[in-house]
Amino acid sequence: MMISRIQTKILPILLAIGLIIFWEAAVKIWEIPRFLLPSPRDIGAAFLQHQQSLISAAQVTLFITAQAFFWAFIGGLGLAIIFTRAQFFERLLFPYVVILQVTPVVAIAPLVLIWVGYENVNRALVIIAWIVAFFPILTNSVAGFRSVEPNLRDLFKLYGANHRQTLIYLEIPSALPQILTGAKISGGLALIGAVVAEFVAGSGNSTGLAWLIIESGNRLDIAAMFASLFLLSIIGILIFYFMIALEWFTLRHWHPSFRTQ
Amino acid sequence: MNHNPAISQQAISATDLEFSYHSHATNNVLGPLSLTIARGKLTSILGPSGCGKSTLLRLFAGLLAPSHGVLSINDMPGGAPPRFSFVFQDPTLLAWSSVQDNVSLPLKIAGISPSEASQKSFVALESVGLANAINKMPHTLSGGMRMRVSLARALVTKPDVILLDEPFAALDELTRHRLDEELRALVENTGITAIFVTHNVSESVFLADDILVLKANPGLVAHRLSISDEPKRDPKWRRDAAFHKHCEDLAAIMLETAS
Repeated sequence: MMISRIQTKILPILLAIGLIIFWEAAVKIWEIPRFLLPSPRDIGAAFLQHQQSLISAAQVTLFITAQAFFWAFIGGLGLAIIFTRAQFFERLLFPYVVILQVTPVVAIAPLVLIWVGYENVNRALVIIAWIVAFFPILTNSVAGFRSVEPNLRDLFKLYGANHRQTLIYLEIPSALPQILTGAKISGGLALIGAVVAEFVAGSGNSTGLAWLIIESGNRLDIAAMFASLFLLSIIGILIFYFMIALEWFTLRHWHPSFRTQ
Repeated sequence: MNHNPAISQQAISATDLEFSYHSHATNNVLGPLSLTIARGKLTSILGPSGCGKSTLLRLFAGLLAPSHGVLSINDMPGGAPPRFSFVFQDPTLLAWSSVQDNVSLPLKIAGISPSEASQKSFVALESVGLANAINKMPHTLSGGMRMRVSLARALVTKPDVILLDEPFAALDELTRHRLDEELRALVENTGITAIFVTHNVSESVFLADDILVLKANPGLVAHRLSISDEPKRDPKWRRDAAFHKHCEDLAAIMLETAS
């Protein structure tokens, strides 16, 4: 059977509707208690009930994620430019970048919190999320800068291009697909980092979605937990599609991945 | 590399030029060799793969520095050092830029105003027959058209010396012939100095005023040949008896140097 383009768009939505109906029915039929698995209707009610705190918590989490991603992007790209210009700095710094990356962030987080201070919890959250998000941007950008066509580099040398011109006209556009791949991974990781950071820091000071999940869990308000979780997924999906749109805007005119098959 | 102030018939001359990738390497990639490149002529550098043809071209362009010996790039009659352009075997276009942006790139790097750059790049594209493709992206063009863009980019700066590293080797025979003819016409009409690296005997005979035959390991000039009997070249030259005679002689020389 041929599946048309429209059908492929509609199918996941139909599946979601089917699953929600099944979920609602299953909770009713098997009389699953609310504190184990609330029905979709309970979750909807919880959402309406906690609407204000949910929205403001989502804003906090989104803001922390965005800041962490922004600094990861700037820092990763900047360090990648320095690394490709001067191998000295790569030799000097890369081991520490790796150490920062391989050490579980949950283990570093309390230290960051203590250093930044509990009066600046949000700043600590940004730093922790930044640590998680930073690495893919750096490594992908370095890989992108390294794979600039050598003949084009020679051409720029021959024309007497300076560092800034080589960077703007050659290196960044050429590495852009890899930079954006790194950004796509980092965007997702920034959200994960924000949630992890809040879990660690969550002692009543933070007000993001992760804290709402912990707090609802403590009150066995599973429906509110689900509502927060649902919002987190939405933020994740938004970030993902933002990156896809960014790729589309910058690469669609020339990159092989956007050519019609 | 020293710039000789004396006005010379030679655009480039090399004396005991040597190149190796490591300063203490016992075997050279190239040389020691001595040669001269005539100004306003097309010199073809012919040889098997791995004989250092491209290395020689990169030395001329200043992309590599000689390990030993003297390479002098002589000044132009006006007293200024010559300006170089390079055409690679691949078109090496910026995939993310339109045809016109690709051609105006050297001007943009030189700090020429956008309006002047776009006007000059249009003229250059017109001269290679691509005036109606200025807004196209490189990946939508055929291999021959892409090479024309690459040529236009090399010509847009009005260079004194153009270095071509097997530019048409990947093209089909017909396209290659047509581009050879256009390149030859360009040299005849503008007096540009062209150095054309190739491994193709008949292309060499069609294009060149002077032919340097290189042998490999290390790269040395094995033979030097001038084709002065036919200064004007057109497609008829390919059917000329003298053309075929030159091709046969040159093929014999190459066979001899290879053994």
